[in-house]
Amino acid sequence: MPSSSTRTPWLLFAAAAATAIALFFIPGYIIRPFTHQSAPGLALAMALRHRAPWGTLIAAFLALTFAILVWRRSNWWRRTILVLVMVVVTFSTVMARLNYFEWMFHPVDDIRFESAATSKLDPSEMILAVRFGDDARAYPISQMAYHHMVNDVVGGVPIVATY
Amino acid sequence: MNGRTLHFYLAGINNQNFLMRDKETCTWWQQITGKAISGPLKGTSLELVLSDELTYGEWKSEFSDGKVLAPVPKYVKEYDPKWEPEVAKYPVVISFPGTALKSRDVVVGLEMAGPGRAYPWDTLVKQSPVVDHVNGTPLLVAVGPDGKSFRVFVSRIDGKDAEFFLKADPEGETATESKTETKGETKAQSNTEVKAEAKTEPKTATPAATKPDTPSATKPAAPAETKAPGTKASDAKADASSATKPAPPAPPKPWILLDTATASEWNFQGCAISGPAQGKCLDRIPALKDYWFDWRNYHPDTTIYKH
Repeated sequence: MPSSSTRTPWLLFAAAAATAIALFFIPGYIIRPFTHQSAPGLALAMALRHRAPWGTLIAAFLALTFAILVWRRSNWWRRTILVLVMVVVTFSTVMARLNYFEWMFHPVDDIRFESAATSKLDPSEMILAVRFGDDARAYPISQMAYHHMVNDVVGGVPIVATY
Repeated sequence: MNGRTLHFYLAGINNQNFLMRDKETCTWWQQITGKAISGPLKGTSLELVLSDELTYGEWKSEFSDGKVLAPVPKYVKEYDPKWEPEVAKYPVVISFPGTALKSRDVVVGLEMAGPGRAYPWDTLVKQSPVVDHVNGTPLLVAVGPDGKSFRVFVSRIDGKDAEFFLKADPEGETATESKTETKGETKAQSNTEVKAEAKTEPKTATPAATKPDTPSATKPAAPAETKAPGTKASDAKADASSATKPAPPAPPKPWILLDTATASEWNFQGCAISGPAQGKCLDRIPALKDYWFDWRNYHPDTTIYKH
């Protein structure tokens, strides 16, 4: 165990590292597919995820600061722990900024339409349809089941079509 | 939202219904309800846009000048035509034992003020057009001529309730009588808000149509499409032997509803095409095709149509 003079920076390092890791992993664990989400659990997950981008950054900075403080007075295995923990902290900090849900279902970055006259869509395929005034649009479910969300403007009205 | 355009992205999942976030405020929104459930805009709701779930053929017949979302070339190979059957096999994480439906049963749920109602898809396909009353509003729930498309209307013509039935085809096949159903009726109440929404069409950003992560429309119970049967092989055979010449492909049977109030003829768009009501259109009710577990989870007061 660290001596009493180094215990405080070690505890602070542990607290900062745990905060950074928790901000990513707790919401990541709760909001995962094919598992039940309880209302309190979901609320906690969303609150943490909302704060994670800047929270992990601050916590990672603090963790790094305390790691440097204790580095010189640490033996090799304590340094190994510091490095491993900082790897996980860095991973959490990066992941808190990435939307991994869109790794599986890519968004439509450049939304494009084709006319009904030129579309090769089979008549039996299902579509979601929206119309405002003369502006009628079809969103093939075969595509929506992959992208899941399409931001669009129909007849001047901003909408999001979801599936 | 309040004059500000929001742009949404997929951000997570809540009991197999997606969570969305908007780029502008990072608020969390529930896909099926359009409600902000966490973040700066918590407590607000997106306005639901009237939308349809149709076959492309049906839509194209109505909107030949419409626009179709083009596939994204780099993702075309990833579009999975078997997505729905595959997803339908996944286990559910919430269930409602004791209800009349199984978790993965597909329903058409009515998005209207007061307790909604769920119409089992298989029942709708068999009984369409269904005439019903929900929260005091007379409704017409119709599966289209393709057996896959559906729409829900207020079955009231000039303030007078009406029932609808399929017009018999020229060959004299029996018309499908409309079904009147009042079971599960809870209470009569005004539904003018929904009617007004259907009439005027909402004007702000909203989920145009929502689905859980587990889309529906997987039931194979739909009747045959209106495509005329016939293959090249059978045609060649007919040329060789006139004695066994098959009947020429039958033209698609017209899909026409008749109403009991004015005896007018109505198309699948809910508009009278002949008769005293010609030119009039029925008001629409927003409806969602969904799995029972998902619909029930977000509409705990829903009733189930029975007949």
